[in-house]
Amino acid sequence: MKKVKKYGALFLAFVMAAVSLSACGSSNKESTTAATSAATTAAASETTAADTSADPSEAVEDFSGQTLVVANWKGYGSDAEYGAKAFEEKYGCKVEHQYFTSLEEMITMLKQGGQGKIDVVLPNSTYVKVMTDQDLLEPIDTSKLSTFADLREDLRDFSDSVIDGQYYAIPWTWGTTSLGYNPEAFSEPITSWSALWDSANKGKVGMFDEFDSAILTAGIYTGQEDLWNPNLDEIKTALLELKANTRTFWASYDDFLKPYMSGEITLGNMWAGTASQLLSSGEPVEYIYPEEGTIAWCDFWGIAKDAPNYDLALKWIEFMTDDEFQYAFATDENAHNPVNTAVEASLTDDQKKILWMYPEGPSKIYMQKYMPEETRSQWLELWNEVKAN
Amino acid sequence: MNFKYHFKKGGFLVLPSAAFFLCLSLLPLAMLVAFSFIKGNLGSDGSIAAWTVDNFVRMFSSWTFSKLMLKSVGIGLLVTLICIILAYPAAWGVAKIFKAKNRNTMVMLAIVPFFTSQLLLIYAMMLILQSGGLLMTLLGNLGLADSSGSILYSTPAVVIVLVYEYLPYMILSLYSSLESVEDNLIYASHTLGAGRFKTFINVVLPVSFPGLLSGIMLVLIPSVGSFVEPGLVGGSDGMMVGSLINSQFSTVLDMGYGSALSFVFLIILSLIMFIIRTLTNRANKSIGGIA
Amino acid sequence: MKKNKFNLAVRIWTILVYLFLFTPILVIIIMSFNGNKYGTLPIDFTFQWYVQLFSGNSDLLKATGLSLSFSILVAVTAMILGTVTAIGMQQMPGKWRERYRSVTSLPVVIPWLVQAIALLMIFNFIGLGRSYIGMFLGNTAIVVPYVIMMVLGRFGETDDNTENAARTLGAKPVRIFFDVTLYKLVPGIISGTLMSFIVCFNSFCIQYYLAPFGVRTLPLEIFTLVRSGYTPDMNALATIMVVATTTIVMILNKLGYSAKNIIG
Repeated sequence: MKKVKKYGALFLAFVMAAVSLSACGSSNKESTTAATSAATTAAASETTAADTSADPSEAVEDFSGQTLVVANWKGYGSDAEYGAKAFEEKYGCKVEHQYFTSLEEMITMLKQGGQGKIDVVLPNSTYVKVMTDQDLLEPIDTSKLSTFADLREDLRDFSDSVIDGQYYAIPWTWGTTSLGYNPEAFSEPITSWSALWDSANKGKVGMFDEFDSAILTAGIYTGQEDLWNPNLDEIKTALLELKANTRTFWASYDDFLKPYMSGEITLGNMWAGTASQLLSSGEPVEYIYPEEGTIAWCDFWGIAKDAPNYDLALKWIEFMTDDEFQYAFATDENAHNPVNTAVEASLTDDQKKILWMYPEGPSKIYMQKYMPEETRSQWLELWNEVKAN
Repeated sequence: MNFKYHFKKGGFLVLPSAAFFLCLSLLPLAMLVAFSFIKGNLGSDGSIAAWTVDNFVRMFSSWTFSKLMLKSVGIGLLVTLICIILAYPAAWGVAKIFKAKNRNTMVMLAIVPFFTSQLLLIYAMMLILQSGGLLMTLLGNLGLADSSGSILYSTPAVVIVLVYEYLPYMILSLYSSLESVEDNLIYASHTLGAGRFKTFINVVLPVSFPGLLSGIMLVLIPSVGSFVEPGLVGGSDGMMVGSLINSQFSTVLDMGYGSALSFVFLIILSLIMFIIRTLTNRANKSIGGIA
Repeated sequence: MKKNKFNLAVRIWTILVYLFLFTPILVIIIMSFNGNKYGTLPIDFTFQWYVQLFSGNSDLLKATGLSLSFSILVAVTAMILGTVTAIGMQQMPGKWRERYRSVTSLPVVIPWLVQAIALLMIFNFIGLGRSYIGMFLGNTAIVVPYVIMMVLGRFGETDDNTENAARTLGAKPVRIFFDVTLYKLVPGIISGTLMSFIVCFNSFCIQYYLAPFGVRTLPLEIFTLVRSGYTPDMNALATIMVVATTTIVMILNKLGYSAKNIIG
């Protein structure tokens, strides 16, 4: 019996300690539960009282009591101080984030209980059509977006986002997945993708673990006619050669930064943001747009089907593409390219340098776009085969 | 007491968990098997495009799955073996050698690593294993290796990280069995003249089999199916079968293929566990252990 | 003499193994004071990550609190359910016990990812969807086998002589159960429950698919930084947790020992 008492005391103390630790978190839990209950009652109460004390042309609607549910990557701008918090203050509402760790998961999130609960989502250029095909997005009333005219035309009128004259996605930020290397490890500057395949760089390459950019990059290197309908055998051979040179695959900024900083990899494909982070932490890096061409991507905001707070969602998109946010986003430590032309023009040369847009951006861009499901499965299969080899 | 009585009595107690397992394990399993035969995904309204065995054909039409499966099982077995070797003496130490008052502490200490996130521990291991990190510097000082080299981003790194992650499970399982080895039995065996080795084989080992078996299951199965660790530290050759399966749900949604892969994976794993269990039972019987 | 050398060897081995387990933790602790954001040497000593962790509405703390209380709930439920089941299984005839054992090992054998997805589909089907209840059921289902395994293991190593003796001495079944049966099962129950707690605390897959929107447990919180990379305040959190749990363990050790002396 003593032993049981002893074990019992142990266990109880353990439980008590853990509960008291969790009490630290429970005071913060209140806001979560409040937000969740607010979300369910949000549909019923929609306040649009104008702020009478402000200048009528700048009247800010009051959305107090509503909670906007945003689906995005964690740490990707919308949850920054100048993002969600500023938005909450401006409109008197609450913003709740639902994070995903892959775009496929974002879609699964919507299809399995998310519709009717999530307001805005962030597909990229490849996924916009996937979503519209599955009827997962609401048409966006662009007349209510004051920033609509400020958006870069090429991104705003991206073919997949406009259906029958209706816009279903608004661009937010764009970037490239191009070649970065450590200038101190190379005697001559690199100008071509072939550097990744150079046998002199065996075991020094870091590759992005994303099947479409991998196949597209191989496509550019092998000079395919149509990058989205390449000769898969040629691609496979090229990728296998590349894999022999590859030290490791990366999936996040961190995955690349670590081995780069410890010298295990000296070049690879990366996002401009990765190079920006390296630059701002004092690491030597060169990010180039190879002569054969560069892959680009764009992230779009869309309003989910049956979004509970449609008007607030519109405000969110407007806020996200507005001068203030776009500028903050472009000059953040993790700098991101703006889609707002006014902001683009206002950037200084130094700021452009960090964005790797100085003196110019890339000249030959291949914007990632929609691929039919069978193609995606096929490409993934190829990539898995290469990786498993 | 007859069979029926025992069965009813035992059955009554088991009922709540039976309901639990039926709904939360058997049913999902049945769904999984069912989904292995559908083509692609469920429509958003739950409709099924077609029934087909294509998924299985596809699985074996290239060597990808088989190769990965073999590699993963190999890594899993290696990890399990290393865990057994490391954990056995340690579990014995905690169970018998350390003073009784410290025993609980040691047990609790073994699980302290679990109060940090798995991911963080892997990152920490990466720091240790990387070029110029702790391990390489140590080896460099001992003259065993060049300190600028690195074993990170390779299969050995995956093995090390997996061993690290699952070692506590093995320690705890073995401990719970070894703890019950009565000291008297050991004294008796020594008094009767048996050497330490013989005592181990005939007295300790048999008693520890249940713990050993659970430990093996707890380490082998997650290891074989792991995908986070090989992704982070495995390097370009690190891919394991778990990544293949996971990519069918997170990179591209292909429920049919993903379920088929999982189904075959399960079958293979169950076979392996069955083999291991039979082997240990046979070994157990041959040294006259407790059934 | 021989025995002492042997014991010493085992002791050293045990300590080495524990050192191996704790070295990465030491690294995390050191790094939690490192101002360098990417965790590279040399170390730039600072408390900033601790400040960041406790400042404002820290997501990490929220998530930790949730994970802790949730995992305790799951572990206790699994403990009760698992122990009752194991006792029941013990009383079943051997053949049936083995069959049921295979059923109970299902959640361990099926990859968690697959179980999570299948469970979500079933929950959606019955209209429950993503919910605390769903997450609770899913996590409990995953961990109950551990308790069953550990408790059954205890049955396997001990015999029922003590129970028989107690019965012949006239003890009532209830008393036998609590004083004898349960007592001998305690180590198994404890290890099983501990394991359940740990597995649930760390179980990313299940919680990812079954957690209600906006609710983030610790594994989710950390894993969602997959795009932007981890932030060093996680090291601070990990350090605090390790120090806290180790301290609790040490205190309990002292208490347990002195309590034993008092009880006598």
